[in-house]
Amino acid sequence: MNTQLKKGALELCVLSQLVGGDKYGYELTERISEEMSIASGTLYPILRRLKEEAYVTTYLVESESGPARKYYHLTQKGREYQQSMQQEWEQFQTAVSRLIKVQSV
Amino acid sequence: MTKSEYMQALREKLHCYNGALQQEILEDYEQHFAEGMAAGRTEEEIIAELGNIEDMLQEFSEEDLKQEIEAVEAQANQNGSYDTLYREVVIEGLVADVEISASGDDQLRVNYVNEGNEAQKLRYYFYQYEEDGVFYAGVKERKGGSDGIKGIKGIWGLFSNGSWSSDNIELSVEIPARIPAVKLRTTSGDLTVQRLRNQSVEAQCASGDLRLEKLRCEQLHGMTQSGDLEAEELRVGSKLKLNSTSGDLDVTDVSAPAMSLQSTSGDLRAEQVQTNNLQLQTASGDLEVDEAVSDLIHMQTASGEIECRDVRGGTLQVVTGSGDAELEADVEICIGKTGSGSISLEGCAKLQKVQLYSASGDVHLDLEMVEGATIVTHTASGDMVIRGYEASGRSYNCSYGSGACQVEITTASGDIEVE
Repeated sequence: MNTQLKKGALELCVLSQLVGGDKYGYELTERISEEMSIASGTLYPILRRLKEEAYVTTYLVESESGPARKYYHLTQKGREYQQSMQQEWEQFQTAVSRLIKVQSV
Repeated sequence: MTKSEYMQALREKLHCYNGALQQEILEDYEQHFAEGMAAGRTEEEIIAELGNIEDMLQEFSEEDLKQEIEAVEAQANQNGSYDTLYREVVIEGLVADVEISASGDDQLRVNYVNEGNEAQKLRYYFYQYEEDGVFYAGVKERKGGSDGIKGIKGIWGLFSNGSWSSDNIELSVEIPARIPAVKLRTTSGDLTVQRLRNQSVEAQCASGDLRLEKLRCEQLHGMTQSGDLEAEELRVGSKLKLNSTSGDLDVTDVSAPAMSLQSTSGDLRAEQVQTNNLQLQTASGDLEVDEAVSDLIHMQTASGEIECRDVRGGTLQVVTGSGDAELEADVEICIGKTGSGSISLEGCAKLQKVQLYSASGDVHLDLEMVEGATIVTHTASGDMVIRGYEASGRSYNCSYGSGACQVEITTASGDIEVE
């Protein structure tokens, strides 16, 4: 897949997973790799970028499984960004679907 | 692959990025491993899930790299001055050309310039620290540098000129004489050492050339692998040792009580030498000594040629396999041995004893300046001409004058001529 497109899609997926509540890194990667086959490692740079853009914030929670878990929390800015991206994605998806159908007729 | 191998690979590939980024990603991965293990997965499964490190690196933005490049740019030119009395200075120049000189005052000065492109600046960086009274400075290559940079090239073609010339990296260091020991090293960079007055100096190059000039020290050890070594105006108090693997050694105007020049395949040349003990050894290179004064001179090569001119001293020992030995030496004792090469000795006045042996080479000895000698020659199948007399037979004995100088010449098939 086109990397730019994939990048945008992954960003949207990650942000969307945080709409319903905070999640820690492993939880997020597990959730996403259930649905699509990606290298989980690639999500960490994305998460880092989202944090730098102030779409998410992070906090640590002690964990029994080892090092403290880093939780990601969607900020107000992130929420707005997620919504606009979702909208864009849906329009794009509809357009793509329509075009694919036209071509196959 | 195990977790620790994977993490090590990750650590190396992240080297091109800034420290905060590196640390964060490493922590994320550690956490990921911990969670995965707690969920009952094996290290291999978790590694497969995390996936290819290069793919992950592609996710980093140009910004991440730009920030790092700016930091590296700022670091590309550095200089410092230090007045601590260190017991040793260790400089590792790696690919940089290194110039070492004596400090005019008590300050140790370091100046590093990297004028390469961004890729080169990312790849090589300057370091400096002190530990246990030793001052360390030099150039390091980021681990996994080339791999890491391949990753960068994937992201932006900015560095795509593709060649990794390490030109324009220069390190110059001024070292005060009161620091007792100096150790200098480069790999492909050239190393020039000038005017040092330190007690002990060790200088080493791999493929770079080594130049030692106007040094006064107690001990001096110079080494190169394929690089050439050139030395001029050395005054060494005790031991001078210079060696190379395939590089040539060229030494001019040197004095030291003991001097050793060694190489595997390089040529060795020494001119204007004053010493008590001069040793030149090479496997396949040629040996040349010019204007030397020494109590003992030992020259040895397997297949190279040996040449002495204006050599004065006590004992001259010369050994070569297939090369010729051409000796113009005024010594008291001369012992020469060749396999298929020929030997010629002339210019001796104070000769007391000479033993020359060649298997298939010819032997020529000039005794014109020697007042008296006892001559014994043997050959299995060669011809003998002794002081104008064509000797028949396999052995010949004669003496003239005082008969004081003991001459013994032996060949298997070579001819013998004594003048």
